[in-house]
Amino acid sequence: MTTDLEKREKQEVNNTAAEQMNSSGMAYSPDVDIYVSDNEVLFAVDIPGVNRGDVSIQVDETDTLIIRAKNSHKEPEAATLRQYRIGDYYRAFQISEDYDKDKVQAKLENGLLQVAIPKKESAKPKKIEIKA
Amino acid sequence: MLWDIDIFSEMERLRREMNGLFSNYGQSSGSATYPLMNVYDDKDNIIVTAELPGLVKDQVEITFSDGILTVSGKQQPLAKTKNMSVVRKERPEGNFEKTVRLPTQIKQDAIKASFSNGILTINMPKAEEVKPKTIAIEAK
Repeated sequence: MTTDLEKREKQEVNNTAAEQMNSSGMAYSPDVDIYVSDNEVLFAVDIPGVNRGDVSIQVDETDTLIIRAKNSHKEPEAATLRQYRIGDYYRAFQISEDYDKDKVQAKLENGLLQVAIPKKESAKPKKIEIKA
Repeated sequence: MLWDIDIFSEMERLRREMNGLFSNYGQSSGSATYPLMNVYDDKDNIIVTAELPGLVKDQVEITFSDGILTVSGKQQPLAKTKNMSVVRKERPEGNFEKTVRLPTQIKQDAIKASFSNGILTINMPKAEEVKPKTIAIEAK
């Protein structure tokens, strides 16, 4: 089971070298869940504090999905206890060519971003009719 | 192939470690429980904030009793993902409860909470008797 999942993950959504480089220093790496079905891949990304207009999602020419979010949430300066900091978010994933990068859909609700990318028709599993 | 997987998991471990360094920065105790919170103390109020992405106000319960603030609720799995397979799971899921002991007396009836883009803010005015007072010097 684990091996199977690992294999799928490697094929469909590898972390990219770009992520290792670009996320250093200036942005936080948000927690992400990734789900797949026969029809699509879904990314659930925790970006608390971010307004709807402040998210940028793009798939570049190397099929890398890049999620950037600007966080303009304000909190007072000096904290008595601090467990999190307010900052921008950055995360990137390599998308398999089975997915249609022209049909990326995204919605942001209450600090939770959902990005869905449908599979290309040609990559969807096909039902084969059995002839009598 | 084995070599590939080892490198991958090592990178992942390093990344998580880096994230851990980030989120624990400036924190006095070791590991923090969910949700992550900040506490601010100004002259008139104690302000507690918590990161609860994806939740709305009806899904979070806030109670205050004997100087202890409790924030509890449940992070539900997304309905849409019921028939999908998980390839990566980083977001916490399930019931949570976190308590904060407040260092000062609070005007209990005046506690207010608000939710904005997945960040909960609880504003707790201090009781009059613990607020700093200016003492006027009487003329003789």
